[in-house]
Amino acid sequence: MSDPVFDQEPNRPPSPSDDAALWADLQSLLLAQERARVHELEELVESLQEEIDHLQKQLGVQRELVVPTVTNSLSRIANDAVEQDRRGMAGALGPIIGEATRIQIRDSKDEMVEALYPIIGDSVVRAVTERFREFQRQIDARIRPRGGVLDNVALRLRGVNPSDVALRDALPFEITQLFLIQHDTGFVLEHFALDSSQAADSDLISGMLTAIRSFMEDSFDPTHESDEDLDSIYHGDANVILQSGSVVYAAAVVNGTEPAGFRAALRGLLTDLNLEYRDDFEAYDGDPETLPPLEHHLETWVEEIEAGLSEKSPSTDSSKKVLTRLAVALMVILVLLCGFMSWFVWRLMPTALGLTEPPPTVVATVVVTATPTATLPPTATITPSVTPSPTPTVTPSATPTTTPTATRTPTVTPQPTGSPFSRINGPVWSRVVPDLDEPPWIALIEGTEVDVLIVQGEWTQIRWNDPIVGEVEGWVPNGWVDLSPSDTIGSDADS
Amino acid sequence: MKTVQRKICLLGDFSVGKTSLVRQFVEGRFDDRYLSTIGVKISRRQISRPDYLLNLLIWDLAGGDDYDDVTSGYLRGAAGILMVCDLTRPLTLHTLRKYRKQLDEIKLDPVVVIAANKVDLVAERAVDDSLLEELSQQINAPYLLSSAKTGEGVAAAFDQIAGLLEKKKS
Ligand SMILES: Nc1nc2c(ncn2[C@@H]2O[C@H](COP(=O)(O)OP(=O)(O)OP(=O)(O)O)[C@@H](O)[C@H]2O)c(=O)[nH]1
Ligand SMILES: [Mg+2]
Repeated sequence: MSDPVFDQEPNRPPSPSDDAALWADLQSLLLAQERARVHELEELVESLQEEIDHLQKQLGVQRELVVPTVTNSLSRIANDAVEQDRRGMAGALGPIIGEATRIQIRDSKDEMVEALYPIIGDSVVRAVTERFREFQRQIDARIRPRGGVLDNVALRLRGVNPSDVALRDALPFEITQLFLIQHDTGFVLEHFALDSSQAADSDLISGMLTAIRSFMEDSFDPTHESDEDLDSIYHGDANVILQSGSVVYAAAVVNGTEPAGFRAALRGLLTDLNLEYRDDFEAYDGDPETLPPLEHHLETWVEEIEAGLSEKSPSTDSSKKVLTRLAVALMVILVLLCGFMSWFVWRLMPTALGLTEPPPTVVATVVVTATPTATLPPTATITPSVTPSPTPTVTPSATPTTTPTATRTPTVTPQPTGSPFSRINGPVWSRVVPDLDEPPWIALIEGTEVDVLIVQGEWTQIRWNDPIVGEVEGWVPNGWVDLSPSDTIGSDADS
Repeated sequence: MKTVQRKICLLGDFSVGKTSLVRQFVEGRFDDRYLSTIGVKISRRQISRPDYLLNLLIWDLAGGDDYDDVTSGYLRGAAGILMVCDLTRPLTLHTLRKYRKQLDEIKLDPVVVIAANKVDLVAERAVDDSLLEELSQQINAPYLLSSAKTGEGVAAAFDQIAGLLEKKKS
């Protein structure tokens, strides 16, 4: 900036001594204020420098005291800023934070992992649990029902990799509580808990479960048309699996992924209990005198299930084992194939030979002389030898089987069978022998078509076609097969 | 001594004090705040009877002047019902008449006791004893005056249900 006093040309040239004095006077007159100001500023700078030094010293000594104060102020400022301009702040901070995070991760990975674990860990666990549940559902949908030697072959046929099944079976699983609950009242009839301290609130839990079931039922199926029930409640990794019976229902609190067939087993448990105690369950009114003597039924069942799981878990199948299984499977297929062929020939034979059905009230042994060529001689001789049936009320039909070899004379051995295609009227476990104390064998679902072979006391022997094992025979309690009166042999089956 | 369980439900209009009665009976305390019950809340209290212990599982249902399928689902298996009305709101008595009718329609025949609640609010009381007598006769259930706030008549109401249950069984 130019000063007009100094820029002006003087009118006459001054003498040097005059000049110096005048110049000094003039300077002191004109610049006094500025000088004072400069001096003031110098002092201020000095004092500020001192203060800065002091603060720096303090910062060094009392870092931990200063940091919270500064952090508080900064976060307040940041909060205000974020509130005023959220988008702007995000735009401004995003790149910085991103870069800072990258650097932080590069330089101190472990610390970052530790800091983030509580936040991310939970989400990961949840996601993995959900993924496994999904995986379990997918596998289960494709492999049910299971059992028997044909597992691996059947699985492959259905496009399921057996190792997936092995993994699915190996997923951790634990039954922590099991309730047997009366439908309407929500009363606990029996309770099993891994941790006995959980027993205290069992009646409140069972009450709430009952209320939830009732709510779901009345809200989503008010007309009670469908027989669908609430079948599970998920909470994080814990899961309540519900299985409904007619008077009571079972609720299993489990951790982890339920093994395949668990629900069927639970249904089997209910079926067994219902068979034995149905009336008692219905009569129970909260008075212990009316409570059926269940005698740790649930605990025993849980032990059995868990024993079964530990037998099955992590598949260590050696290739030898697999091969043996395959061989057995192949043999079974061969046998089935032969059976099918014989059946096929048998079905064609009567047509070809013009045979009529044997009289209905006898067991017939039919000796057929047949040649396997397509053109059967019209003069085939039939020699029926008739033997009286040991159970005269049955209506047997001759079931001749022939072998396709030309030189053999096939012998036909008919069996007393009931009318074909009776139906199972509810989910039930079959057993190898007619005894409730025997372990359940194959689960039958409602509507399964069965042949009634014989009714013996409380039990019915049936034959049916299992989707995996093929044709099998087993026993079910009488009430589970819809029998027409003519099917009954010396028993009053209630259907 | 044996322990017998019974399911008891509370029925009544909004805000008559069902939850407060249960809270007083089970936890022995009162709260001025009103948090309307959604769905159902189940509590439990054991009481001593002359020769056995009675474990009451108490279902506190959401209030209303009518009930729907969901409520009737909750009522299944109830041995006793505590019907609650509010002495400061005469209309809440009428609600109980509706409930009685609906109970009959779904063929439930539990033991019923009426609690005429908030008797501590003397100045605001709008229902006299004669109206209560009439209600009691109409729905064929004994009544008593109660206050969830002071605790008056609360245990007595549940005791009366227990007594009626014994009488019914014998
Ligand atoms: N003074 C007084 N207030 C009461 C009494 N009982 C309940 N209240 C009050 O009344 C209000 C409603 O009580 P709640 O017990 O929640 O009523 P509720 O019948 O359960 O209501 P919903 O759940 O909505 O059906 C609350 O503010 C209580 O504090 C009582 O005996 N005396
Ligand atoms: Mg309430």
